[in-house]
Amino acid sequence: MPQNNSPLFLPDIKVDPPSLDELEISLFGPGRGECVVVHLGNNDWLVVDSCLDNTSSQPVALRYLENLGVDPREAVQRVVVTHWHDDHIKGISAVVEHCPSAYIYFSQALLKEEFFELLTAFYSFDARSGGKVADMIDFERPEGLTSGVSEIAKIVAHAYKHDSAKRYKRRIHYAGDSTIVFESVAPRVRIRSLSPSAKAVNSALVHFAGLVPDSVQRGVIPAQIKNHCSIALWIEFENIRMLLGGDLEQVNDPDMGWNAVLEGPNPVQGSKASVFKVPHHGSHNGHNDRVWKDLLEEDVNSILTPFYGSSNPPPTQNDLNRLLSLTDSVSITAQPKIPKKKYTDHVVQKLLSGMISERRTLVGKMGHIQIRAFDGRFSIGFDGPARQVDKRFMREFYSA
Amino acid sequence: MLTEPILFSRYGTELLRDAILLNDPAENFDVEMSQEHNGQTAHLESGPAAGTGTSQTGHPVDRHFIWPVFNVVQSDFKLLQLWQGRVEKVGTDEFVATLFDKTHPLSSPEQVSISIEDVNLEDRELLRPGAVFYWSIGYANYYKGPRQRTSRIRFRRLVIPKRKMVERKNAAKQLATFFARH
Repeated sequence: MPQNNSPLFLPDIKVDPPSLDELEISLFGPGRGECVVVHLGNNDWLVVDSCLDNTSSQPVALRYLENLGVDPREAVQRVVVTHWHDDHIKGISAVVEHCPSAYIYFSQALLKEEFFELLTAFYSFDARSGGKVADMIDFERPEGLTSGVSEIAKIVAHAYKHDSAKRYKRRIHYAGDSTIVFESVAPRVRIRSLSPSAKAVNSALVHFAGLVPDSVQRGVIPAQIKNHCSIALWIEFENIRMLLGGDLEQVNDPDMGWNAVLEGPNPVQGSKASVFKVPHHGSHNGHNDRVWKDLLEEDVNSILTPFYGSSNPPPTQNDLNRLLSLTDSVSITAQPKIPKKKYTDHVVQKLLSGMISERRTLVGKMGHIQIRAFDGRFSIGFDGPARQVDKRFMREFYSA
Repeated sequence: MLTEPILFSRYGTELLRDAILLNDPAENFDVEMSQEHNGQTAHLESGPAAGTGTSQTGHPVDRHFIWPVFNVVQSDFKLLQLWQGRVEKVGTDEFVATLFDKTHPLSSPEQVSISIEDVNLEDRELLRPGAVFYWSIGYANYYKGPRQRTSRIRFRRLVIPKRKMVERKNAAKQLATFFARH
């Protein structure tokens, strides 16, 4: 492992691909979501979740890998869909389609009849004809109105269609509280999922059943709030450990959320992570003190994306102060708050301000944090609005 | 090819106008809607051809836009801003919605809180999480009347026939069985 855990902060990201035995973890957001890209050695890559590039509206993982000179069709070995929310899943179906070598890992809850019932209630699907992918893509018009379920609908249809025809080896897999997602010998790499627990899966199924419409009014599935069945990943790369927290939350139940990870099968065996993708955008409901004590090294390199879309969006000032009290190395992909959109037509602006009590812009500029481990040391580079969160950052955003 | 008339309710025609404005074919050709919501339908005159499809009886259909012959009040509406929205949460006095700007499609979506009072009484039964609506702001010029700044929120009234819901449940079972093999 790197001998000195204190990272070297760089003003830019590296644009050359990592060497075959070099670790890289890149975090993107919040263009329209969050995405993690990890180099697993030997030009094998992992993509966790997806978001869209602001300018091209293409999945950022594909754009980034192509910019590095990496062919995603050959190189991406695993795609993990941590959960089904809009802010983690935009463009994931395109990632899956462009990465035919990849195995796709879902939370078990998303491959059960309860979820499919929800999916088919909102999206056209004719299983008898092998899955009409076009129907689903069709229904995605008008752009933006879909929930994350439409992305999963497309993946499911794609897998069903190609598997039925036996033309591709595409396989979809479950990930639970101790699933091996990837293993290699040189470099020695192992990826395990730490969640969701069995109880979280059951809870999610009950939740899905409640969302199936009882009427025939056609709409879209609204934004969802429960994240209990999110996948968290534990990555071992030689002697370096990383914890990707997804959107896993802290709940008052020993068998769910972070409690279940800590009290469950404990596949991490006392080892601690030196890189942490902070769960749920740094919000207090993704925080568990024992995670920091038992699973993370002191001064762990913490990375996170902000979330735009609630009245008090995470991370708040308190959230960032809490993170800074736990580690010196905190980096964020974009500024925590973005200004309100302005309409050029003053009549529109005036009517709008008279009718709307609260207004928040949902998409900000994309940022990129790139961590690489070389010569026994971590380097952290930034692109776009991504920054290190330090005293200067806090003064800049919160001094007023 | 058959020419199949499509009947729209008053709301349907309004939505149709929006759909044309948005160039949104999903809205244009929902024949099922007119059949299940035919409380106030009108015979409509044909307009320019806009696409083809298959009728419910399986015949290929050359679908035409059909224009209403209501007692049209001569007026016009100068559209300044149009959004398409989805309802996220409904409270006692307000609802939270995500708005997608159709006038400036490249701009960011927004999340807003709107007073329920701004929704027509007849649309309020449609106000539920997941419902889709259109919100337009502009100037209405009334025949021999004043020019007014206008804000209109109208909810989409597309429906899924009950028999299709049953089919969809069966599709869900098939998918679950398929993925259980892995």
